[in-house]
Amino acid sequence: MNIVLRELRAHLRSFLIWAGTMVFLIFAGLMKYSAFQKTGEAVNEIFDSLPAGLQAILGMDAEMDLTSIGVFYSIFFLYFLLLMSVHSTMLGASIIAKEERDKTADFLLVKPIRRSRAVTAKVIAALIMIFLFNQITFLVSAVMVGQYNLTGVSLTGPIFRLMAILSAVQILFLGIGLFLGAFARNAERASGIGTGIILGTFLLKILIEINQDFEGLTFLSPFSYFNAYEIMFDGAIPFGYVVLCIGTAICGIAGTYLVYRKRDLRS
Amino acid sequence: MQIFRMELWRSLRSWVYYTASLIAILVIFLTFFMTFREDAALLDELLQNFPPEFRAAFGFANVDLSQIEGYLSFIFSYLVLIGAVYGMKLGVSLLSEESRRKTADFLLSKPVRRDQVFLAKFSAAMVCVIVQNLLLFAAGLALIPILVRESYDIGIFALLSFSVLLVQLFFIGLGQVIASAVQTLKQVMPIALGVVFFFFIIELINQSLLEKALTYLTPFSYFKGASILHLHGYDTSYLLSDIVVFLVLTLLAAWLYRRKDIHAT
Repeated sequence: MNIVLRELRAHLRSFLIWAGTMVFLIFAGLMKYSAFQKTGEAVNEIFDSLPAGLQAILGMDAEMDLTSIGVFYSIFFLYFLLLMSVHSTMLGASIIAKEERDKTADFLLVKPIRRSRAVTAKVIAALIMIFLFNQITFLVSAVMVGQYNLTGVSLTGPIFRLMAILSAVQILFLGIGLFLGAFARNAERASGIGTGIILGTFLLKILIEINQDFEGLTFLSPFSYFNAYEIMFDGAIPFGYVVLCIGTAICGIAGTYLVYRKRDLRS
Repeated sequence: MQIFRMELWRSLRSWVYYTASLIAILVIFLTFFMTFREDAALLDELLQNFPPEFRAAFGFANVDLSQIEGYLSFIFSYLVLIGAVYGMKLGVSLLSEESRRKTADFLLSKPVRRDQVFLAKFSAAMVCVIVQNLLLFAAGLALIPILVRESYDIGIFALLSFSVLLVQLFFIGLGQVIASAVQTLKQVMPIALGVVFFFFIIELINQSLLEKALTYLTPFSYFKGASILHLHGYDTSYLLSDIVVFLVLTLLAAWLYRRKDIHAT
């Protein structure tokens, strides 16, 4: 318990910076909604005149109102994915690897607890932080979108579904980060590899988008698992990918315990 | 000179990784141009029917992706992102590395002035990014003819290619300021990635609107493929603001570094 609290306090400052950044981006993004709405009206008309086949190619269906706040908000999904993947991976990597970097590994591990308990405390602290990050995003989004939403139909439910999906991706990247923290030689290396994974999977998403031959590789890029619009408005949740996220995370966390138990920690 | 050489040596490993990744990404994307162009031609024909506002809102840049120049500008919008991460990492790590390695007292007790230390580190960073960009450019020159087998405008390619450097300069400046303003930075990558993605997302938000004033906020808006293709050069006001931001931030970082209270342990 002490370790959990200690970790939460140690990450408080960086957590506040992340939360502030998120709030700012949601705010800045929604500020532009009014301008988007103006251009959207003209587009709606053109769009309705298109044959259904073309609409399908563009990935939209006929009832989709391009000027609605809900559709506009679904574009934010990618921004959330980018920020949260970095936050979770780096948090996971540093929470494990920082003891050696800060030369506090000997202090922590001479305490009368097993190594696995220290890892458990760190995993719990990290889970609490990604959950809070998710909830802050949810609350700020729900309130801000509510301000702009004049349709009378509440969007809180769809936004909540989107956040639930995001938490699966957060847990996935946290699992990867934790494993890297235990596995890599030092904190610097762990965050370096983490960066490579984030940028690499993001570029893979782009590759899949421009080349259908790569669709078979979708499972490798968490950025292309989910379609925000479908999750929010069709209620279509691809459970396979959710299971894949959580399964990978569990493997990562299990790997963290295994590696960390035998790790030769330099003090 | 010693410090300069030491810094280069220290940066070598990550420099190799990033340079190789940039070139690899260029190659991978180029390989798919031939298969992609037919789809792109169809899509482009389709998009011609839409007003520019629509294309902007849905992220279809105003370029013809079935042309090699348009496709290159699409690739470079991502190479710039990777390059920016490297620039930011370089800027942040150079000035904060000594405190992390607990070697600040070793370095700063040498009979050199802080300004000289700063200058050595700064020059090392410049060499890293300039050589990186020259290699990326050379790789493109050598490989585009092989992978695409089509004539293309070398001038446009050069402009696109060196836009990576220009964006990197912005982030090196910013990284240096952060590193010299904060007492001790425990980690580089979370800050580097966080800041770069922050600016990248601002650019994504900008993209959905055609409002020019806000584009000055993020370097990712400065050297857009569409404008390079259109102007056959860089937009002067953006180029100027990029350079000015870089110079001002670097001078600010040098000033902060000179008066920074650096702890020995």
